[in-house]
Amino acid sequence: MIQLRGICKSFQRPGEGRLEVLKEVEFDVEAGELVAVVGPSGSGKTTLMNILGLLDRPDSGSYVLHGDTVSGLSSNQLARLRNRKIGFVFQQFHLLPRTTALENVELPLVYSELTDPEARAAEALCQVGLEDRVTHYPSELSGGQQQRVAIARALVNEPDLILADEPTGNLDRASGEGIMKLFRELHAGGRTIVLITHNQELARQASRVVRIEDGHLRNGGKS
Amino acid sequence: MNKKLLLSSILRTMARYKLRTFFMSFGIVVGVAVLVVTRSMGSGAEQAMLDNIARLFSASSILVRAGGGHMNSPQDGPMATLKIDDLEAIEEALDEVIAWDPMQILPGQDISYQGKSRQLAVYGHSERAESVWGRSVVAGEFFTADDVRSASRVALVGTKTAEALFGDQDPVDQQIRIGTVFFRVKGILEPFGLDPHGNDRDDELWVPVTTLMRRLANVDYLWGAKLIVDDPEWVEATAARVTEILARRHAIARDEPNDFSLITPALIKKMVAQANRVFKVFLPAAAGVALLVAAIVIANIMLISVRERIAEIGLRKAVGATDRQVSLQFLAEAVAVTLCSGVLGAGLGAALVAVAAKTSGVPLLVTPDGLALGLVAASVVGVVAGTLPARKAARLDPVEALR
Repeated sequence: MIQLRGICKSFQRPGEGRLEVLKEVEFDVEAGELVAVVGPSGSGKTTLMNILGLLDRPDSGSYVLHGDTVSGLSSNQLARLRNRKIGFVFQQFHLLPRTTALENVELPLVYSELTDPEARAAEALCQVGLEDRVTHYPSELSGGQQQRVAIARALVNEPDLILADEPTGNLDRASGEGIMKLFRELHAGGRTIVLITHNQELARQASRVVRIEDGHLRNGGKS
Repeated sequence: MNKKLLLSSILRTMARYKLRTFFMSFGIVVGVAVLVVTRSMGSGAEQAMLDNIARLFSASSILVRAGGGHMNSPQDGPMATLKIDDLEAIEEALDEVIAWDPMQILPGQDISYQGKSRQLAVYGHSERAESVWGRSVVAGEFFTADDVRSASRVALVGTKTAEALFGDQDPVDQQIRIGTVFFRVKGILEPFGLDPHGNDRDDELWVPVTTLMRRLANVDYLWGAKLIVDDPEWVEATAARVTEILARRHAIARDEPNDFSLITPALIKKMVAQANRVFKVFLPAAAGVALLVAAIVIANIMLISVRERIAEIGLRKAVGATDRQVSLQFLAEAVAVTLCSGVLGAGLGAALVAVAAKTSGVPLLVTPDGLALGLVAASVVGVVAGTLPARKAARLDPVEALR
C-alpha cells in the first residue's frame, strides 16, 4: 500500500540553520494493517504524517501510494489523490463550527464526483455509532462524539488509507478508549490505518508499532 | 466537484454568521436601493415634467419667440421685430403649417370690477388659440375672428380670477376694467393649473391680440406665436425652414445672432433631460460611491473571515479541495452575499418608489433598467471585493493552516 524510500525533509529555522526532521526514512505499510507510529514530540511524527497524507512534499526520496509514484505530481493532482485515497483524523477534530454532524461529514464529497452525498454521510455516521446525532452541532457533542464525527468524515470517501494524528490527544481516558476501539473495529473490517501517537498504551493495540526518534524510523515489530 | 453541495454550504455559511452577513450586506442594500429609487425618480420626474409640458406644447408644435437667447434665460436682443406679417408669410410659404396663433403679453395689469381689483397678466391671443393652445371656455364664448379683426374690447377670465372678482355672480357680460379701458367679459377659461414655470394659469385674462397691441400696449410687434405642423415628424425640418424665412425677412446676416428663437419638442426634451440630470447622473453616481465603500467593507470583513477560518481552509484542502476550488468558494460567498443584498436593495427601492408614488401622486415607475443596473452593480461589487480574500485563502499552506 505504502512504500517510502529514502525520505528526507528539513526545515529552515530562523537564525539556527536547517533542522533535519526526517532522515532517510524507509517505511512500508501493507493493506489492512493498523500501524502505530510512536515517538516523543519533535521527533518528526507530524511531518511524516503530512508527507504520508500528501499535504507536504519530501526534499528527497520516493513515495509510492497504492502503486502510484506521487513525487512530482502537481498540487491539483495531489488534492485529487487526497480526496480519493486518504482520510484524515486530527487531534483537534477540525470540525466546522455551526455546521451539523451530517454536513461536516459531507465536506469531502463537495470535492468529489461521488453521488448521493447525504446518504453516504449518513452511513458513515452510522458506522461510527452516531446515527442519532446527525443534526447535532459540534458544540452539542462531547469530545469523543466530535472525534467520531471526524472519523466518519475520514471514512465517507471510502479512502484506501486513514491517517490519524494523536486522535485521542484531546480526549479523556474513557472517550479515548472508545475511539481506539472504533479504530480496531475499522481495522478488523479491513481498513488500512496509520496511527500517530506518543501514547504507548494506545500503540500497543496496533498490529505493528514503528518508533521514530531524531528523524530515524525504527521498526518495533509486531506487538 | 459537487457544485450543489458547495452552494448549499455557502448559503448555510451566510445564514449562520448572521451578524457578519448583515455588515457585509448593509452597504449593498442601501446602495442598490438608492440606485433603483433615483433611476425611477429620474424617469418619473422627467415623465411628469414632459406630461405637464405636453398640455401646453404638443409634439407637433413650434413656439416662435421674439428676441434671441434660450428658453429659460431672459430674452435678449431687439424684441420689437416679430410682426404679424412674418407669421402670415410663414403660413403662405409653408403648407405644413396648418394653424398658428400670435400672442403678446402684458404683465402686472390692474384689473378692477366694482371696487375690487387684482394685478394680473393679460394675454393677447387670436380666436385660433382655442384650437392651437387647446384651451376653450367653460362658460360664455371664446372670442371670434371678428373680435380679433375689429380689436373689440372683450375678455376671457380665468376661473380663479372670476371667483376673486365676481364671487357667486355670473361674470359673463359684466364690464371689467383693464387699467382705464372697459372690457366685456365674454367667457371663463378652462381651468389649467400651474404651467411648467410655476405660473397659475387660472388667474389671468385673455383678450384679442389686436386689442392688446392697439388699445392696451400700443405696440405693433408680437411676443411670439405658436405654430401647429401637420405631422409631428416634420416639426424639426419645419422649424429650420421657419428660421430661414424669419432670418431672411429680418435681414439677418449669416454671422449675426437671430432676433428670434424657436422652441421645438426636441429642444424641450433636451432641456427636461438636463433638468433631471441630478436624478439620472449625480445621485446614481453617489450610489456608486456608496457601493464602492460597501465593496471595501466586504473585502475587509472577508479578509478577517479568511483569517478566522484558516483551520477550515486547511481542512478543505486536506480533504481534497484544490486552490481554485477554495478560491471559488470565497469568491462565491462574496457574490452570494452581494447578490442577495442586491435583490433585497432592489425590493426596498421598489417599495420606496411605490410609497413615494402613492404619497406624492406623481406617477413614479420602477424602471427595469434601474433594477438590472442595481443587480449588476451588486454582483460586480461581490467579485471585486471577493477576489483578494479568495486569493489569500487559496494560497494558504494546509500544513500551516492545520497546525
